[in-house]
Amino acid sequence: MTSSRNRALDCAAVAAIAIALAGPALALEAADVLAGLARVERSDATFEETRHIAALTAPVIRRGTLRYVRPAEIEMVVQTPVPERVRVVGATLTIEGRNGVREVRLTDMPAIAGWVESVRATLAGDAPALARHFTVRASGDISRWQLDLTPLSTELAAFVMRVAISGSNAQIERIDVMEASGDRSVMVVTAARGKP
Amino acid sequence: MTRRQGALVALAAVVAAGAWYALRHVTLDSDYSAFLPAGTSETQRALMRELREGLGSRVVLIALGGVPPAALADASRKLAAALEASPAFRYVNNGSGSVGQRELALIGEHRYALSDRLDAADPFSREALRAALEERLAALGSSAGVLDKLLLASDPTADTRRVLARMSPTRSPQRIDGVWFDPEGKRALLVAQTRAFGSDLEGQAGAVHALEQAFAAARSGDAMSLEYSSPGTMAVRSRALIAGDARTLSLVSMAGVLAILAWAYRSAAVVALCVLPAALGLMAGVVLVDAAFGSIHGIALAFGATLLGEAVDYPTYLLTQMREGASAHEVTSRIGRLLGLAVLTTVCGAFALVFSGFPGLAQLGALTVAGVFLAGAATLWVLPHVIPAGWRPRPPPRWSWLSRTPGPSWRPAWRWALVAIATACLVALASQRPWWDDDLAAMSPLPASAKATDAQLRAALGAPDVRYVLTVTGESREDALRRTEALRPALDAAVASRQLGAFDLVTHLVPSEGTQARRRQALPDPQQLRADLEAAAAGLPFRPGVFDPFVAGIARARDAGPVTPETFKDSALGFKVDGLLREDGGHWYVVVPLTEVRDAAGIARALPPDARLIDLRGETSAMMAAYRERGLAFSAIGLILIYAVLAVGLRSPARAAKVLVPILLAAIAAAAILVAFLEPLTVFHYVALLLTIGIGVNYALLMASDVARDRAAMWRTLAVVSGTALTTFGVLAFAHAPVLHAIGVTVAVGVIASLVFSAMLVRPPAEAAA
Repeated sequence: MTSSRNRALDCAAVAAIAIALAGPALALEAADVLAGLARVERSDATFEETRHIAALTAPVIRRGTLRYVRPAEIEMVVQTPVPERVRVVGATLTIEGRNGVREVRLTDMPAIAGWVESVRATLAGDAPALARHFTVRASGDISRWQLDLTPLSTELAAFVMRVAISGSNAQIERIDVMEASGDRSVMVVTAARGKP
Repeated sequence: MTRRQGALVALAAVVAAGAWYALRHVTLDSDYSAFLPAGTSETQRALMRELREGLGSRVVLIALGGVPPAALADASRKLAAALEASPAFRYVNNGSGSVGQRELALIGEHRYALSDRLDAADPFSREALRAALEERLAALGSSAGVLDKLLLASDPTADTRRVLARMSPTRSPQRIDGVWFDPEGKRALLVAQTRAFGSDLEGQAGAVHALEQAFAAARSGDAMSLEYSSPGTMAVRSRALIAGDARTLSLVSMAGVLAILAWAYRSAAVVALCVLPAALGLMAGVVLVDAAFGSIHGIALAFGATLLGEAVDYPTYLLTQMREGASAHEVTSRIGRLLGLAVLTTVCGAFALVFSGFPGLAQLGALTVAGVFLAGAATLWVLPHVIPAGWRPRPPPRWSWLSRTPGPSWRPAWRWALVAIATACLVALASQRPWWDDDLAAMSPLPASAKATDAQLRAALGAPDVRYVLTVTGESREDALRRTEALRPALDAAVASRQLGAFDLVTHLVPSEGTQARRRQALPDPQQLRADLEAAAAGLPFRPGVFDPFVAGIARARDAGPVTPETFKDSALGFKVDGLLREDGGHWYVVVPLTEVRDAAGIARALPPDARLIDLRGETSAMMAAYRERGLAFSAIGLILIYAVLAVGLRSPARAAKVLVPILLAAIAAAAILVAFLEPLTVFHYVALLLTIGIGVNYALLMASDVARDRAAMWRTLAVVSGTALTTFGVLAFAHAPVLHAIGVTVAVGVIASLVFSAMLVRPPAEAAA
C-alpha cells in the first residue's frame, strides 16, 4: 500500500520534473533514466571498487555485493580487503565491521547523507530526493546513459566534488566519485543473474 | 494636650518613625531560594549549590512549535543567531553542524595533551607506529573512513579519534533540515546558556526578555509558539508570582481584618486603636529582621500583613472586655495575666519557625515574635492610657445571639469521648494516605504545568541522567582534577560490568597538569620520530613524506602550553567544562554526569572515599525528611515551652494541661484533616502546626479564665479574634508559594478545630467551680 503510494508519488514527481526540464526532443533527460530505474523493485549485484588515494602508492581495491530493496533499503557487503557490512534503512546507517557495529543517523551527518542519497535515490529513481542534494545532468541515450551529480550544499561539496553514475536502461553499471581532496574511486557494478 | 492624647500621639509618632525607617533603610529580598533548604550535610549543601548555581541553573531549554518543520527550522536558525549575538547569552546550540567544526579543531590541536594513549609505555615506538599504520591502511579500505582519511597525514596514531570516542556520546535529538527536533518532529529544539547564574534573578529576567525579543523577531506569523524552561527562568516566574501574591493577598487580608473590626466596633477611631499596636509590632519586626538578616524577604513582608491579623487580637481582648463604669486600667489589671499568657504562647508558637533551618522561615518567625511581643506590650501598657474610662463597644447588629450561646450541656466525660472518637476517626481516615511529601518540587510555587514543560523539554533534548550525580572536591583545581582522574578505573570497571552505561569526566578535556606533563614527556624527538616512522612504514603502500604534518604536529605539541578551561572558552566544549568544573569558596568541585545508572550501590562501593555519588531524588527526599524531623524536634521544644509558660502563668501544671490538651488534640485533628482531604504534610505544615497551637491555646485560655463568666463578652472576644485569624490565614491559603499556602491552610483549619475542641472540652470557671 505504502510502496504503491510512494511509487505513484514518484511517478507524479518524475512527470513534473520531465515537464519542467522539457528541452530539445532528442536529448536524454534525467527523468527518462530515473523513470526506468523507478520500476525496479529489487536488485542484486556484485561490485569492484578501486580507490585512488593520494597518500598511498597503490589503489585500494574492494570487492563484494550490493543489494537494493524498494523503497529505501540498500546493503553493501564487502568481502575484501576488510570484511564489512553496510546497511542503510530509511535514515539509519549501520556499519558492521572490524570495530563492531556502529549506527549513524543520516540526518546527523549531512555529508554522508548526501553521498548515500546519490546512490540510493538513483537506484530508487527518486528524482526529488536526488534534486535535494545535487544538480543532475544527463547525457548519452537510454541504452548508454550517464548522470552527472554536482553537490548543492557546501557541506557535501567539502567532501564530494562530483559523482558520475552510468549504466544502460534500468541497470547501474559504474559509479565514479571525485572527492574534494583529489582522491577518487570507481565502482564497477555487475548485475547478478539467475538469483531469485 | 491631655495625657490620653499625648500617649496616642507618641504611639502614632513611633509607628510613623518606624515606617519611615523601614522605607529608607530596609532591603527587600525576593530570591525564593530563601525558602529552599540550604542542606544539613556537606553533600546536601553541594547538591543545593549545584541546583542553584551549577551549569544546570544557567541552561535554558527552548522549543518552537505550531507551524510546519521547514518554517520551524528557519526560525530556529534565526533565533540561534540572535541569541548568539545577545550579551545575555554566552552559548546557544540548535543542533546545526557549524558548531562541530570549531570543537573538532580544538580537540585536534590539543590531541596529545588529551589522549590517554600517551599514558601507556612507549606510545610512539616503532612497534606502536607500525600497528597504527596497519590500522590506518585497513580503515582506508573500509566504508567509514571519512574521518580516517581526513586526519591520516596529521594524526596517523588516531589520537584525535580516541579523544572524541571517549567523550560521552550523549544522545542528541533528531535533526530535521539540519536543526534539532523533538521525536515527533513537531517542535524545533534549542539549548542556550545564560551569562548570568541561575541565582542572579535580575540577570535571568534580562535573559528571558532577550529571548522573547529574539523570538518576536524570528517568528514567522502568529501560529508559531515559543516554550522555554530553566531553573533561572522558573525562579523569575516564581518571583513574579510571589510579588503578585504579596500585593493581592496582603491587601485582601488587611481589608478583611479592617471589615471585621469595623463590624465589631463601628467606630473608625477604635479600629485605628486596634491597628496601632499591630502596626507598631510590624514595624519593629521588619526593622529587627532587617538588622538580624541583612534584608527582609518579600514573603516575610507579605506575612507581615497576616501578622497584623494576629496582632490586632490583643487590643481586641482589651476592647471587647470593656464595660460600663470600668476604666481600661481596671480591665487590663483583670485580664493582664491572660493577655500576657496569650502573647507568650503565640511567641512560643513561632519558635519552630525561627529554628526551622530555612532563612525565609526564620524571618517569618522573627517577624512574628517581635511583632506579637510589641503589639501585646503596647496593648497592656499604652492603650489603657488612650481609651477613655467607661467606653464600651456598641454591640453590632445580630451580636446578641452570641450571648445566648449555651455552654455545652453534656457531661464532660461524654464530651471527651466524642472529641477523642472524632480525632481518632480523622487520623484513621488520614492513615489511608501518605502523610509526608518529601519532594523538593513541592516547595516550588510554579504550577504543575510549568514543571511538566520542563520535564518534557529535558527528555526531548536527551539530557543525561538527572537523578545520580558524582562529585569530587579538591583544595585546588589541580587537586580536583587529579582526584577526578583517579575515578577512571572504578568507572571503567562499572561500565564493563554493566552497572553503568556511560560517564563523562572533565579530565577528558582538561587533564591535570601532572598528567599533561607526563604526556608531553612521552612525545618523541622529531628526528627520532622520523626515523622510527620510516622503519614502521617499510613494506606498506604509504607515499613517502605523507606523514610530515604528523611530525610537525608532534614538534609543536612538545612546546605547547598546558590545556586549561580557558583553552575551550566560547566553544561548546567550554560550556561543558564550565558545567563540570567549578570553584566555590576556595574549593574546586567536579561533577561527573552518569548515564544509565543500573546499580548505584555497586558503583558507590567501588569509588575512592573522596568521591560522592549523590542520588538526587534520594538525597533531596532525605534532606526534606531531615528538615521535617528538625521541624518536629523544634515543635516539641516549642510545645514544652508553651506548656511551661502556661504552668507558670496559671500557677498549676494541671490547669495548664487542661488548657493545652484540647488544643493539642485540635492540632492532631487539623493535621489529619489536611492529609485526608487536602495534601500531604511538608516541613512548612509542621512548623505551622506549632503556630496553630500557639494561637489556639489563646482561645482555650480565654474560655478557662474568669472572663468566661460573662459568656456573651467571651464569645464576642472569641468571634472577633478567631474571625481575624481565619480571614488572614484563610487568604494566605490561596498563595502560590507553598510556604505561605501551607502556613495559611494549616492555621485556618487549626483555628476552627481549636475553637470547636476548646468549646467542647474547656470547662468554664463556673462549671469548674460547680
